[in-house]
Amino acid sequence: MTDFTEDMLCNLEKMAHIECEKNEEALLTDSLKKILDYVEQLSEVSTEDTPIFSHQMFLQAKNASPQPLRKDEPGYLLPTETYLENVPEKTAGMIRVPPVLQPKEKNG
Amino acid sequence: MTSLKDWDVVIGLEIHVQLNTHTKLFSPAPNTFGENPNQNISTICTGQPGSLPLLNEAAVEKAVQFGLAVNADISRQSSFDRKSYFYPDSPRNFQITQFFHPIVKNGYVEISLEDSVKKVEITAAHLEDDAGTLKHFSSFTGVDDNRAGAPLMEIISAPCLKSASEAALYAKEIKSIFQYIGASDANMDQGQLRMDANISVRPQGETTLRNKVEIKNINSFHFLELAINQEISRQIAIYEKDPHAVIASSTCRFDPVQKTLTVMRKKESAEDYRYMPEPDIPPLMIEEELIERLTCSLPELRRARKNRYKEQLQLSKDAAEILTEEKALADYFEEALSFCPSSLSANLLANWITIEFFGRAKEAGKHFLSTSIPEKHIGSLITLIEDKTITSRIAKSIADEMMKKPHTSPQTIVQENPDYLPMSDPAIIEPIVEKILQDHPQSIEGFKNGKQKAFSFLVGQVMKSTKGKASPEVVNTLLHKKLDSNR
Amino acid sequence: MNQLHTKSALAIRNLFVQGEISAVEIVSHYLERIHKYNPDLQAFLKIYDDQALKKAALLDEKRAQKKPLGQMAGLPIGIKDNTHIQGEITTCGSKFLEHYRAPFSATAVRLMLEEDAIIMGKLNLDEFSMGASSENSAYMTTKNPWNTECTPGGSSGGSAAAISARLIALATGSDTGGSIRQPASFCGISGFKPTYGRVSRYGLVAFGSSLDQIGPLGARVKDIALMMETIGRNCPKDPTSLKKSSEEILTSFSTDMKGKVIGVPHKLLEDLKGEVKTDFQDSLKRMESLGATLVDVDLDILRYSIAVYYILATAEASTNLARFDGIRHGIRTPQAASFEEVYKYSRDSGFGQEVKKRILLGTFVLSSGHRDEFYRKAQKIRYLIAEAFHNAFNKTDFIAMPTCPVTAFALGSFPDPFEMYLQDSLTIPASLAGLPAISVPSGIDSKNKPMSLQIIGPKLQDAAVLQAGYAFEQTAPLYKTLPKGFL
Repeated sequence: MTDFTEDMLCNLEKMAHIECEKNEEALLTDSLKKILDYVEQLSEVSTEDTPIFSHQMFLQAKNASPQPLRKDEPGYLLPTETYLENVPEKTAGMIRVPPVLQPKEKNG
Repeated sequence: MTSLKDWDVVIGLEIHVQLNTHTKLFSPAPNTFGENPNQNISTICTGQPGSLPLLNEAAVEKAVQFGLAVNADISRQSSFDRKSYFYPDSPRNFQITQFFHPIVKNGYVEISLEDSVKKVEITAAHLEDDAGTLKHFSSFTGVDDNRAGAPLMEIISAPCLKSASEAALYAKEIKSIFQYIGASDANMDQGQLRMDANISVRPQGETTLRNKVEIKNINSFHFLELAINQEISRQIAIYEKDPHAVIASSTCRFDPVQKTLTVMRKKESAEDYRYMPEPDIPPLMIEEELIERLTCSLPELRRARKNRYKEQLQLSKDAAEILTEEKALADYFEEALSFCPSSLSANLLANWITIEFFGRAKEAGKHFLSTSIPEKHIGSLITLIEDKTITSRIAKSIADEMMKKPHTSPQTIVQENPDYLPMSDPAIIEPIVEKILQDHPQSIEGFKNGKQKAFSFLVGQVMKSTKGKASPEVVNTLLHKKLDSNR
Repeated sequence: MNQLHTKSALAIRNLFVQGEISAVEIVSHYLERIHKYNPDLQAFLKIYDDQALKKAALLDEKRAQKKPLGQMAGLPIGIKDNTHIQGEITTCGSKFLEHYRAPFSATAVRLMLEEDAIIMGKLNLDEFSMGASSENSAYMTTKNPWNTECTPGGSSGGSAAAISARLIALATGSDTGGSIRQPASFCGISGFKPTYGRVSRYGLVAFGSSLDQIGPLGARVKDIALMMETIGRNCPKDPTSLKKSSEEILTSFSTDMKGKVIGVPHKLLEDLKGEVKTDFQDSLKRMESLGATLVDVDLDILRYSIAVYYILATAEASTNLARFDGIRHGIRTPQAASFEEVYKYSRDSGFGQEVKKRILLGTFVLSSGHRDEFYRKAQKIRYLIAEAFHNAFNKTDFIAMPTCPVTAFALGSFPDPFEMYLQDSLTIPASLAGLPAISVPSGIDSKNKPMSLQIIGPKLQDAAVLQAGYAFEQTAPLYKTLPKGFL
């Protein structure tokens, strides 16, 4: 995709919540551009009437049937202490994060 | 200055309802909250790497039942999608929802307007999981995943609501359907039903839709009407000032304390949710057999119940409306009726509940259903009135006592309180009648001269003297006897 | 005893069960090898000396008490470090999860432990399974035992190297686009990617959810068949798990391929060159000598596999890795003043460049305005790829291709990873179609680098594919030749 720019990369960083170093950004832009140029070949294939691949296709095998739905019965719980063990910052049983501000802008 | 009827109001509602399954939508953790933080959790609803979502069969059934109750198409094949957005209350930073192929499509409900019935179309309804909760403190925010993964249904109406009151009526109907099919208590105080309203206004006759403003997370019908009316006025005022104005699409919150709308974000910074089919969940196939079974077992909905009350129990339209507004109340009413002499007591019972007891509860600052008065007791009270054991007036006093002591039956109250004991023995009443007649010779004269009012006065005096305990029939009979014999 | 590691897994198990050797002796032998060779080879991220010896002692006790012993009793195994063992750290080769302690075991791990396998340690991989050389690991660079200047392949490089050097008897890997088969090929051992859904993904840290499968690596096809008998079965905790219980595979093993039709996509392979090409032709002749018939099949659409894969796998990965935000797990920086800063700092410092790149690419192909052109298009071509295989299997039992168009390349020889992507051309297709595929060593080239044959079968024909792999292997078993320096 010849018009993939560093601005577009920055926008992706915002969406993916990853902040890259400045020098990384040029490299990444280049890399992504290369890949996107490569995948452009897919437009050669006519797919107007082609269905989308879905999980159903995995089941199209002899003797394959889908997993039944889970019954509504309480099951294996994660103990609070085990959960919090991996949490970097915690307080009083809660995960602790910097204060989340409420939106303040007035309607206008 | 234009008037409201120069403007065409376009409102669509998105209603989120928490289902009352035992476990969460994709996680076997219990679907209850209010405990200490991070107790009702599993590897799945906390988004542990390596965990996989397991769809809850009961949630699917409740979704299908809702679809059946709103006359919708049930998708024989629906699927789930990932909706990406980052927020601390989201363990995976994506919600699992049904964007492309929802389970329920093209339904409708009917709402009763002043003199007509309006059909409100439901575009779609789908299943999705809820986020956790944030608790805000001054120096930090705490995240609690007890609610993360809770099963929600989102119901999306067509933008066909024309006023705040229509929107509220529609939302109430949705609430009642969930209650009546037993899929949710839809308790708004507990956040089990939340509404988002999309509002735009255009001059009458204009056919293109203008930009809409979204008001998120409204949790009461009263605030819904307030917020919508406020936004309608605001938009009209803007367009009146400048007919070519373009209102920016935005998302707002309604502040219930300040009763104002504050903008959360404008459209330019709108989220790109990057919807993608959820690869971990195979397409949901709904078998005909399930639909048949759920159709047969669909409970009586509110509309049908109201009609039954009107037709079979001879209740008035208003009484039927009030009693069926909450399923729990309608259930209470019917249970209480079973303790009455017959279904012919329905009207009397309805009056006593919706006027007498409702009024007393309101004075006590409560909702009637939280007074803890058992259905059996109210039924007994009606029975005592109907078999003339007590008078209406005494019944009111007994009702006062029942409010104070809800677990005491009316019979016990009567027994404990000699003042409430009925007086129907003519031998006791006769001397009182005699005395009243002696004290009011002019009334006897009046009666002899054909004044019916005089008779009523005398009855009233006897009742007053017996503190309302005397049986009106006995008093009537005795008075007539004495007056006639005096001729 | 000092040649124990040259024996098959089955043989080692039998020696243990029959009382000829103790579990402690087995573990000690392998631990000695691990400590001797791993410092240079760098295959293990973690070595469980104490736990393994303890488990061995318990197993010896169990045997002494004549209790029944499991299918994998006494076998020293390694687990790729993207698969959970409860209570142990799972790093996924990333700094982000340096301290993440798995709250549960993967089903595959649990099943093997139930069969009395002994876990020796966690094996190195490309970070979050993204890579084909294991050079993307944040911790160490694994070397290829056949040539320590070269990569063992990836992402299951640690697993392949450890098996190749006979530091363990069996290993798990995970395969998303070739991550089991390609390293197996580079290291001259066998590796198997099961039918999608045949082995539970519960406990495998997801990369590409609709592609990932846990699978075995071993020196012999019989060894990996043994693991498949244990782990290849339905799991109720994996919604994509196929509803099929475990099957006996080893009993069907024979070297007879009479009546079997093997499809070869000649046009697709027209660019094959050098020794890989001649080796492949030789492999085909060997299959014919076993009685198989070769036919040409049209799989031309597979030339788009790489493009399809890098759109779909990265899209899925971008959402799967969104949960790594520093809030609920992972590293967190004290400087973050808002939750957005928590995300940015944690994800920036926790992820390596290849991971970031793939997340950004995946975000792009799902983003508004691009989803149709990239994601949806790729989904449609994936359908065509699956359909092409389906059609080919109408007239064939298997499809044969080399596993890789190249042999192990030198470490650091791909400054631009994009060139490395292009080498996955022959492994990606079976992942996209969810088909079982085995890689069996076929020859050693003039530079002393192993080459392999890949056999792909129809869905759920895992046993048949393993059997075909076994038959091929037996025509010239390479497992008899250990890499120099690891004897």
